[in-house]
Amino acid sequence: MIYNMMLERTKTTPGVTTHVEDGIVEIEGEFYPEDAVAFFTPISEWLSAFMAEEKRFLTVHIRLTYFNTSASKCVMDLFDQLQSYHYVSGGAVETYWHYQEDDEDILEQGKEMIDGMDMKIFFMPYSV
Amino acid sequence: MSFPDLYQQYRQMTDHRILMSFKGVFAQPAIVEMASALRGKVASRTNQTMVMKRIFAIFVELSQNILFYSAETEKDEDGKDNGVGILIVSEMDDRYCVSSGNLIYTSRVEGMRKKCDIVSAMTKDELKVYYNEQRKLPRSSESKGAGLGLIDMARKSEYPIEYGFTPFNDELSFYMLSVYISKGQEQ
Repeated sequence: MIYNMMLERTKTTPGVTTHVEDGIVEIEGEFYPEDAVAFFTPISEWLSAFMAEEKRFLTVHIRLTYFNTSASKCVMDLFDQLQSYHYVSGGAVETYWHYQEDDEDILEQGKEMIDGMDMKIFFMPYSV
Repeated sequence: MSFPDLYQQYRQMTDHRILMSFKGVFAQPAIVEMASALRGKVASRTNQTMVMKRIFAIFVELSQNILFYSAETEKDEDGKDNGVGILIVSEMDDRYCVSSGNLIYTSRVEGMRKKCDIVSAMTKDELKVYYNEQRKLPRSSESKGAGLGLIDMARKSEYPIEYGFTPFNDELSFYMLSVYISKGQEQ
């Protein structure tokens, strides 16, 4: 079994927690570091390892309250990665996109990113 | 004189309802601190989530533009180059204004102007399509966000972006960009 990943949340990078045994990934916080790609590379590598070695059902919770345009490309890459896993292994991914109930921009961003994809995504409003 | 124009500047900034102003090196830690302070300032003026979030987003986007793309840079302790520029957030009766200015090579002016012309002429729907097209493009060495910043800011604003260029010296020009956020209806 691959190792779990645990990144503490900072002011400009989200906290990342994985639960390999349950196949759950959680990403939560603000995302606008100086180098979004450098931050995100270990996460996509972890996902690749899970997809190659565990080959099990994956649930992804994304709860980002702000991300800049550079980070938005990383989130887009994440969706591409999930979509291809979903496609190759046949419906093995569920994504939850959590957004503050009156934050229309975050909701819209999520909707636009999955436009044209056929994996399961649930939009989950929360109140603060 | 030991206080060059200090009172005059203070007076002017007060009259123009400047919430925040900074001229200097836009290093990431400074941007984070300023953005956080700005969030507090705006929160004390409005209860509208989207107004707060959009001003914050535009501030970060413009600040990081200066950090990455200003032609004028200074090295930090680690030898890394950080861009120099100016950024001003001000309040008007019906909206907030975030303005940034920095030097760029004059050879880049026409390209930048064209980009700004395209974005400022687009409707909201056109911006949405353009944004999602651009986001699919690979990153380039010239742009960390594939040029998404300008489009994203235009989408967040209820007003057209304003921009201008003015010659600075033989090879450099000063690039200015203003983005407005409507105050909307207070609840």
